[in-house]
Amino acid sequence: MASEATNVNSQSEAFETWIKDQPLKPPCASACPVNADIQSFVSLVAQGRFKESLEAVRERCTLPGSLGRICHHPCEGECRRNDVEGAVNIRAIKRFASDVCADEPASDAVPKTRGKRVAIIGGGVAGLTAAYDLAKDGFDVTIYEQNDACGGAIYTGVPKYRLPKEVVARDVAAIESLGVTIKTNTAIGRDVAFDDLAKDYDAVLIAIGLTVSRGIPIPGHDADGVLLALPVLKEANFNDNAVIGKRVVVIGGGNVAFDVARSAKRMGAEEVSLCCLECEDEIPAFSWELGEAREEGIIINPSWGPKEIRVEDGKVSAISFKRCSRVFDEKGIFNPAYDENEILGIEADNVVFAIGQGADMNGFTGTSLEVDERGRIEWDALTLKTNLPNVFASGEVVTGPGSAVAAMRNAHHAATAIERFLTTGTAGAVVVPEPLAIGRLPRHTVDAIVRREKNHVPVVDPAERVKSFVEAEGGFDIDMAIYEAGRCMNCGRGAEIIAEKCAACLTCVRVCPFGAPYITEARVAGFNWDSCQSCGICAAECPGMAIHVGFNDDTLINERIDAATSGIVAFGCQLGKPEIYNPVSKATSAPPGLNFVKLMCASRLDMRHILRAIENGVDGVAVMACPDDKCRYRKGVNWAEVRANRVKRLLDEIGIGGERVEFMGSFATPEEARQAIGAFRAALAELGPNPLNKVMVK
Amino acid sequence: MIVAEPKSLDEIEAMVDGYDRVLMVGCGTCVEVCLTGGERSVNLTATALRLARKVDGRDIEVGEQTVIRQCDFEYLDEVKDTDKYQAIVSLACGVGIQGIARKFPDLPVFPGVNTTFMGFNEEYGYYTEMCKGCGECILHLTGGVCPVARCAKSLLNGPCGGTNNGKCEIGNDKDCGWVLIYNKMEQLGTLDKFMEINMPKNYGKAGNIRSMDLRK
Repeated sequence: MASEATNVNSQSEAFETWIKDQPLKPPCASACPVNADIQSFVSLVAQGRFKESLEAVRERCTLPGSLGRICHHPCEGECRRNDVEGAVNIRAIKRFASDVCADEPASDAVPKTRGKRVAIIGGGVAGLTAAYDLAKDGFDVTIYEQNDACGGAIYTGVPKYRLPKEVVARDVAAIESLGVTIKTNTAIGRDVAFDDLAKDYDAVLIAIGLTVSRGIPIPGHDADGVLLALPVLKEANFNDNAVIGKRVVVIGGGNVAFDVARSAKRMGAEEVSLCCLECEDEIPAFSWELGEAREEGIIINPSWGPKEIRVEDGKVSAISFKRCSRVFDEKGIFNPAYDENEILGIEADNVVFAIGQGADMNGFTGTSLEVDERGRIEWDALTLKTNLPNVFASGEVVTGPGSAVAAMRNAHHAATAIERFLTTGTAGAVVVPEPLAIGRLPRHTVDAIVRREKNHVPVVDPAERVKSFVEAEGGFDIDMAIYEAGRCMNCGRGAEIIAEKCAACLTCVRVCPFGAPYITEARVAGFNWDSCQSCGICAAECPGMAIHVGFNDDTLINERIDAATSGIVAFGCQLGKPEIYNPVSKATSAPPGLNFVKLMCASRLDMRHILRAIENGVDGVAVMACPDDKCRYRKGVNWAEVRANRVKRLLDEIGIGGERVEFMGSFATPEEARQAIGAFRAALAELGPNPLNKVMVK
Repeated sequence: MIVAEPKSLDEIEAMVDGYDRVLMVGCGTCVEVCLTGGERSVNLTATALRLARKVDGRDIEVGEQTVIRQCDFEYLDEVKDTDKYQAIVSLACGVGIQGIARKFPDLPVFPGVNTTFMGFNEEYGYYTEMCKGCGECILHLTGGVCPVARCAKSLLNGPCGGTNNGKCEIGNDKDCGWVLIYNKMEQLGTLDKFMEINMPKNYGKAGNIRSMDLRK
């Protein structure tokens, strides 16, 4: 079986130790609210190491299946591939990592070594994330959740067509498997007293989210048929026979409003209008929500403020709007102005307010938790503390409405604050420096980058998808995911000069396809990270061994080489065909006795790597490389062949025999690969054992 | 820079045949730049030597060190732990190898490369000879192209009858140095000088045991 000597930890640790001293970070991770190690999990998918990829996702993005569907992916907005032919589809890769591992066994529980107990009130995104971090840290964590299952807004609010409930359940189960106790159907104030929790636990985290929809007291607001967003979404999520009127008007322009409008369509409404104060450009919902809603036939009416609901026989019959001429005043404060001369009337069976949410603080009434005059928790954003020494708060209940990933970020901070409090006995400010991203791709580098068009996920046709709550967006299959992951350019993890060893010989300058190296004023090589693509051609050629490549580190490569002391070591690009390279692929396993050492590109292959494998006693070394038209760099195959031939000549001289190294190039089919390996194995058997290794392994 | 090419492993192996602890020392200047004598070459050659010995059923310890230049005593001070070794293999040019030999008079020193010429770094991994060190430079008379180094016969008044469509009769696709000179002088508009006869050079200046003293 193919062996993978490294695991995600060694990759992440190497990354951590290396990158912490680097001034600039990759723009994706820098833009990500939880600073997920995106390049690592993308690279692991590219290598077919899916389980490890999922663990790398989960480290910061604690609900991978869910966020792989609903995250607004600011990472992709900053992806430097945007300047080439389109961002890497990071969200879809994350979703793939989660979905492909859906049947994998749950992780083992983390031993509760810290001897401290933490209660988390609310099992939404924030609560679950803090639970993940704290359980991983060895704390005994209990989540108190008022609903029948965890997930919070992504369970009760986000519609099934965007996020199926079983995906949320899968994400929750993974956190539960760490040893987190989850008490569902348990409401604070009703089933458990808050003050008791604060007394019984070493620390408490309030992460109850915003669960109460607000309305607007316009005339007619209390009529039959006037609804609030969250109850409508709950109905859509949990009642398979949910119905709504034929004509529905949704008031609001946020993502929740769009969820309501699109759900209403799926509940049978024939005419759905969405009216909001904001003009088209100011609509707060994500731009793709507008597009998808319009595709589904939802009428969007920007710049209208609700005026009056007309009621007939106690029931809604229509609603009128007044023209909203501005939402924010000159100071940028929410202060809408109207032109009452311009009126829009829409006939309606239902009007749904989707204008915002508040916290349900009922469970805390009369407790020692202090709230301000508006009922908001007294909270310090830096320490995440409430007025009580051991009670913290996190997520939308304190930060206000935002994205799921933003709640996740805040919850990571809360977990840090609680960990610190439980370790030192005092709370402190959680300061997370904003990482600085590297710059844009220079024009000459854009020109040199091999074009690889973006892979999109399949989306169900609008006419079809509005008929049910079946998930509308599909995921990647293995080939698509590996291809897409291979588009990552590993920005900012590239070559670094060890100045005292550099002879300014210009070799790196001459071999780099992207124009990254240059000679500095100090007369040593320097690397422009804006250009470097981490291929490693330079490191394998540098005569002074003065180049370190962050994502292609010799230490890591050597570890993989050293995992094999017999059989055949095969070097190749990490993007090699999954059915040949991929140990977890269900298609075909790698031929037995073959140990793949995946490199960022075959051009990273150093003569020393081949010699090392031979010295370890393996029978032979196969060198594979993508054909030039598939190489994500330039001419990786040529470099691999040159180096293989150099080592062949050297092995002839050594007396081991150059036949033990075979340059194989690439294969059109797995069968071709197996045949080539089979023939090579037969040739090696003919040669007899590696003279350095007395025992020949069949 | 000084260009050198690797010696065959067989030759190095034969040189160190009687030893089982040798130090291989690289040079981080000219021979590193021409990809022959830097840290990478030291590592590859040392590994190859070790493996070749293993195949023969004998072990050899090969130490690996690389200094900035082997043609300066001060840099040779950086070569350490020589008392652990029975011999030194130097991957420097002939100058550096002799520097090592002078620095460590009690140790046998063996050349790991063949020093070949003074050359120009044309592109990655490709070098051409440009200078013979004749001691009497006449590049000002020949359009900046050296007839001593780039004419196969080192003719001072060429070309000879072996010039063939810009190439030299020796083959290997080598340019005729005198055609290069002619073309360059034409480009410079100094073809009239081409007709002047270059006087014979004082080849005594290219003789042996040369030294230079700038101290006065």
